[in-house]
Amino acid sequence: MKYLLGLGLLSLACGAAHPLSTAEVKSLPPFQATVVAVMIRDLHHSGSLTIRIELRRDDGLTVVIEEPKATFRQLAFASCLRTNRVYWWPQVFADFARKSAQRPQYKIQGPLSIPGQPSHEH
Amino acid sequence: MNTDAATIMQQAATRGASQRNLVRAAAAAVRAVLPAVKTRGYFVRKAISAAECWAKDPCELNQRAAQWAGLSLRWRVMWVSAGSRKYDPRDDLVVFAAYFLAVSTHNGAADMAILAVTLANGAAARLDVDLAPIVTAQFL
Repeated sequence: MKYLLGLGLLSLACGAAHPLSTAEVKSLPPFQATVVAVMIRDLHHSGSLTIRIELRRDDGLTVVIEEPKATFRQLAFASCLRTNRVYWWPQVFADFARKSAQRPQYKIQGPLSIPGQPSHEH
Repeated sequence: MNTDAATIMQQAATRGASQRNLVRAAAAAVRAVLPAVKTRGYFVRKAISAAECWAKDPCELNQRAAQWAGLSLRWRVMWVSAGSRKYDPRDDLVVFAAYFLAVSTHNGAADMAILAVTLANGAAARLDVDLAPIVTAQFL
């Protein structure tokens, strides 16, 4: 399985508190997770954001993704993952609808991608 | 940027404030930055009203009303998300705040209310409005 959460949102921390480098994140083996929180850590005057997304892996570990210089687009998509409402992109919707048997929580599975943005593949 | 209001929300959530309370506080915050909106003001107001109703009575009917209010803003959010400049970009913060406010009525999505206040705070800085006392008042 591959995991999305790519979307440019990858640069992350693993185990609740400890940020990992992007390279370390990419080296992680694929995992299933549920989005439990989406936060804005910093909102710049220029309009760029630092987004923080907390995931709970199926094996119980907490994973935190922090993306500096994120966009509203990424924020909107992150909120979709959070609230189980997927209406942005057809292929994402199809994939999530198929795999969201445990509503309102998601199994995040890939590969998913937003048009125009490469997905991160492991 | 004034981060006080968002911090207050975060602290309230940490203390165990109910989602209804957080939504009510977020609605007050977004309402305070309403003057910043130039386009889609009607839909923003609808989202605020719906969230306030849900905070008073979180029945399914009110939740659906909030969801519909969010739906009306969703297109705008989607346009912005897709990089469109169809609307006045200065409204983005408030519109997104209102959208996340509507989303926060989704059960268990209290963090969305904090998100709404964080974005409203960004708009408040431009209006020279301090949201901290407005948010604090909702928890008294």
